[in-house]
Amino acid sequence: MQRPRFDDEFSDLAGLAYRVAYRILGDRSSAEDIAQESLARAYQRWTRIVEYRQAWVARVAGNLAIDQIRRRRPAAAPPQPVDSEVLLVERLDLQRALLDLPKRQRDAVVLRYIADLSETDVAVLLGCSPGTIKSHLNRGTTRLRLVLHDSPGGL
Amino acid sequence: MFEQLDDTEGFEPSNAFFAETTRRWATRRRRRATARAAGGVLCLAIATPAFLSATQREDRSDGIGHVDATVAGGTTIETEPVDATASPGTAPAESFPVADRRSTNFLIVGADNNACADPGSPYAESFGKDASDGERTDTIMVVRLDAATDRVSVLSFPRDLWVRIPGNGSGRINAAYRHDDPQLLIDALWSEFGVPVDHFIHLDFCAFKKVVDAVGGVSVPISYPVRDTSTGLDIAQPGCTAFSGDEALAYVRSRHFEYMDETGSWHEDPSSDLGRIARQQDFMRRVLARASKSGILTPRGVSALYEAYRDDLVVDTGLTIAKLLEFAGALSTVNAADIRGYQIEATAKNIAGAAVLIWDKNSPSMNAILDIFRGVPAANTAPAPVSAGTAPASNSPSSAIVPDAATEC
Repeated sequence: MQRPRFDDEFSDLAGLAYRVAYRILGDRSSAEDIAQESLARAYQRWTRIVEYRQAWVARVAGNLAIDQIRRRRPAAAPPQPVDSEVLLVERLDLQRALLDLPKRQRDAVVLRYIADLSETDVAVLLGCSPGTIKSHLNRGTTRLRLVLHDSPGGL
Repeated sequence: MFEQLDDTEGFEPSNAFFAETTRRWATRRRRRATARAAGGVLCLAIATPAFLSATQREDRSDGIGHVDATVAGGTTIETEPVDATASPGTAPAESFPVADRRSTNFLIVGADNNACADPGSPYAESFGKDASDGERTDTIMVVRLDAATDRVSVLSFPRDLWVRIPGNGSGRINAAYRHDDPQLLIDALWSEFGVPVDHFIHLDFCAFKKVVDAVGGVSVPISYPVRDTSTGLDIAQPGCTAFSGDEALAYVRSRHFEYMDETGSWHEDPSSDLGRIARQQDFMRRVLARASKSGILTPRGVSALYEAYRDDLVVDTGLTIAKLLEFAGALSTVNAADIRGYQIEATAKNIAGAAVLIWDKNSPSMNAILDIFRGVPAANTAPAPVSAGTAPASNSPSSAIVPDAATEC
């Protein structure tokens, strides 16, 4: 079977990376920047990631976005005010919750719920069994809900 | 779950967007090529060991460890997880490539993370109660493949060892290791012990379990009932014990190793880390012996392993599959019993309320051991390994604590 070409996949993958970054950051220019960066990295190792490209790109974008909130955390600069107030609060809660999650749970949550990948895809990318992913997701969302629930505008 | 947080205007990558992506890709490629070339030049300087300050560029945001680090002596180490999908169409070679005839030091770090904690496993508890504990190094060892003697020597560093950490004062050796970033640890090994590092391998619990399972489990002769309530180790029946990946992990990680004597009372291994290190080295030897037997130490087998590890292993980028196969080839000719295990001679001290180990800089035997790993030609009096497959050293711990190396299982 012909291996999917990067050019043909570009649009979809860029859209995915953008969506992941935007959901986390709520900031168009950052999301665009992260999408570009993710895609550049994807192209660099295309043959190696082609089989699980969506998951890979989503993970890179998610990590870049989380890195960004981590870096900007002390200053606590809110995203550009595209959001309504309710959304803004919700997004900030999500950011805080993501930062507080242990890495594996965070990876699973980002891939499953922010990138909307299937559990199977997440399991393949993270190299765990579907059962392990389920348990990461379970614990991850429980913690996420706790954090989001404790604050106004929660889930 | 988070649709409400989407960009309401949507997103359509423009041509400009595409162009910028390509530009970034191109810059990245050039930068890499330059780094490689510089590394090659610096390699020439390896014979004149000079402490090089760490120049690191950390780039781990792609979710996969990826680090540049400068090895003491000059080589550039970039780490990346093993990626076997590089050329899926290529069938593994039938014979090992000929190894480079230089001796090579591998820094192997076994890290304690929760990545592979299967919640259903009886050992799950021991993976740290809270995944946010993050990652600690559980094991630090330098493995030397000596080209001249075809000998494999292993030097284990207890984690409480007090060392200078360049640029960071002094501290426990495991404090020098940051996830996916071997630089400080490499620098510390160089400046404190004069031991250079050529390649770096980071093995997490997942990888360890997979190795054990890949060779079909490893059997260890256990002379007494043993247990460790903190790792879940519990072997009631002495004898040849076949360990699966999970059980093996509980065994090699054990710090509070207890055995039951003939009278039925439990004793904790008083040597703590010494016993643990000796058990680990013994276990390594058995893994290798088992690997030789199970036929996994073939180019095909090693390639398959490499593939299985994609997510669990981080190596420096100089350690390509081709290189790895070279080393595996060299390893396949080594008799597991000939692997010599050493450890750092140290005394327990208390520094600022912390129990640490100070190594003995003036001990001739300690320096003779370090010379092996420094590549200094051996003196006539070769130091006795703490663990060897044959002729156990006189001060070797009792078989209650470390399996008798000569006993096959």
